[in-house]
Amino acid sequence: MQIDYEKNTLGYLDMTFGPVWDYIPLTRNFVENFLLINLIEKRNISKISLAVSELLENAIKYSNNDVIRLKIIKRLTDNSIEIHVFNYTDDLHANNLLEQIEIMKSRNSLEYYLEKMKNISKNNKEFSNLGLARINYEANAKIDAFYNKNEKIIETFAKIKLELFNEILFIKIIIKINYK
Amino acid sequence: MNKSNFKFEDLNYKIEINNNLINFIGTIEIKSLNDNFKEYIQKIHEYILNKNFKDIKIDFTKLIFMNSSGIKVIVEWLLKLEELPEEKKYKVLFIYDPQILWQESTINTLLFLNENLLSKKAINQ
Repeated sequence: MQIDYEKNTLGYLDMTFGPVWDYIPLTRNFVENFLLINLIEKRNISKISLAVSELLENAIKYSNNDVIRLKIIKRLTDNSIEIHVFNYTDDLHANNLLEQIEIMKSRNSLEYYLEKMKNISKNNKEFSNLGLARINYEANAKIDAFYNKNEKIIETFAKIKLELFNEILFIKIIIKINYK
Repeated sequence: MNKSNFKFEDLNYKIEINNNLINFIGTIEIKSLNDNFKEYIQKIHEYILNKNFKDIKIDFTKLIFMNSSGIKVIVEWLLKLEELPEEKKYKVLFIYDPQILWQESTINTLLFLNENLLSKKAINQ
């Protein structure tokens, strides 16, 4: 057995928990406090915690099974933070999400966010994906998703570029937590 | 309910209304549009119209966080302003804390919805 950091990373946070709405603020606050120790730029922390919160919200809303997984990764070679959220879902929700993300990727982030806002009363409100548009624009996050159709697992992914290059020096912690 | 000074309270947030000043306090993290929050906002909108206010202030400085479902409700409220007859329209000033970083980016986007009626001011400015 070897005690070490996750390979090729400068930081790694991995949490799994049940799809419980009240875990969202708990997790957001935990991530925020954790990052306060490891990042000095508050804008980075705010963007990351916003993205975590909105991605978890989507995952919990559309999850059809008993587990959500959140991974936050700082890789050695990239001045960005990656946020990965995994949940079980069905083909309908997965395909809707994949389609929305493809549209979002092809559009200007502010225009897309505003369009989502203006169409709130017209759209199917439960599928509005305003949260993704929000982190795409407000957190300047690159968003993508991958669906494993056999396993029915969707991974939603946000990558946030850190605003200060030397931030990479401050992250050297791995935490693995599992709560239901 | 005293119409000139009342409040709505939920588990994690409260909204205090003092004449044309509306304070949002706590964390608004609503799950769906059927949440009480939507009903509170509708009542506040009706109160403003009944009082015939031409300017209101929305103070977010004690609001720690609002999720996108909460923002949807606020957006629906702001979009209603456009549909009002001219004599009923009212201006909205958002007061925010620059130290709570999501507030400025969210409010900046909200302002695009109606640049004539919506404006912002940072606390201590």
